[in-house]
This record gives sequence, structure tokens and C-alpha cells, in this order.
Amino acid sequence: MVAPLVSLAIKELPGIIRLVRELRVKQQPTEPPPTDAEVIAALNSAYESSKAKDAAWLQAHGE
Amino acid sequence: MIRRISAIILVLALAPACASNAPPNLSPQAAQAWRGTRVIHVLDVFRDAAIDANAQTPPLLSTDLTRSIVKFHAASLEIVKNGPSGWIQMLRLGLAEVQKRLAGRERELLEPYIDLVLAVLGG
Repeated sequence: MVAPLVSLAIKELPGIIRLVRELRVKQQPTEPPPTDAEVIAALNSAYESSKAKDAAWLQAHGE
Repeated sequence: MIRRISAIILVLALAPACASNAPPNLSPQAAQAWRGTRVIHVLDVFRDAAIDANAQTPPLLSTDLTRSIVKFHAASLEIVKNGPSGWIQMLRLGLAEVQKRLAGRERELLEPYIDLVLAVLGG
């Protein structure tokens, strides 16, 4: 039981580290803040790629 | 015990960042989009953990439960994207419904990820 959980935790770690970095990044003083267009584009991009993964998994598992 | 500690570490590491506000130059719509992107990313971590747990040999999560989580994730994406009034509360309610389906080992496995999502939503 422990070994698969450890294996799963190791597998998820890169995603969690990416999330931590994203949420904790502090803007450099010289870095311009994102524009409205950039932020909305980022949301659309995250939405589309995530939606595609959901659809792919559901299709592969009988939906 | 290890999983509980991991959950606490995850939430403590992310909580300050979760409380951070959108850049002040953004319009209200863009500020919501900024927050929405972060919510999508944390929901992705939750979904991916479920999918990977289901893919283990033997599976740590049943396919039926994983399908429920993926469907919850898909519905949550639409809520985040459209951003209706009270969208955060909608996500919390949906997550509570998922939590009701968890028991025993499945609950232990997914609780840290659910806590993570709630931490990001709660900011």
C-alpha cells in the first residue's frame, strides 16, 4: 500500500511544485504587470488545455 | 500520518500565496480571470492526482469515482470560465458533493488535494 502511494506522490510532485512556484512568484520591480489581454488569454489557454484533457480521459473511459 | 503532514505542509506553503491579490492595474473582469487561472491550475492538480491514482496497478481509486472527479473538474472549468455571480461558492458546493462520495482509503488519498483546492478558493 505504501509503495504505490509514494510512487503517486512522486508523480504528482512536479505539478505541485509548479503550482507552488506560480502562486508564490513575486514580480520583479522592473517586470511590467500583466495586461488585461494577457491575463484573459492565460485563462482561455488554461481552460482549453484542461478541458481537452478532461475530454480525452472521459472518451478513453467510456463516456 | 504522513499524508496529514503533507496536507498541512501543502496548505501552509500555499496559503500566503493564495491570499495574494491580482495585480492592481487589472480591470475587475481581468482580476477575476487572473484568479480563475489559479483556480484552474489547482483543480488540474486535483484531477491529475485522481487520474494517476486510478492508473496505478492496482488502482488506488476506482474508475467510477475518478470519472466523477473528472466530470466535476469539467463542470468547474465552465463555472470558472463564465464566472457567474457566486462562482466560488458553486465550486465549494461541487467539491463538497465529491467529498461525500469518498470513504476510507480514497478519502485519505484525496483529502490533501481537496484541502489545497479549498485553500486556493478561500483566499
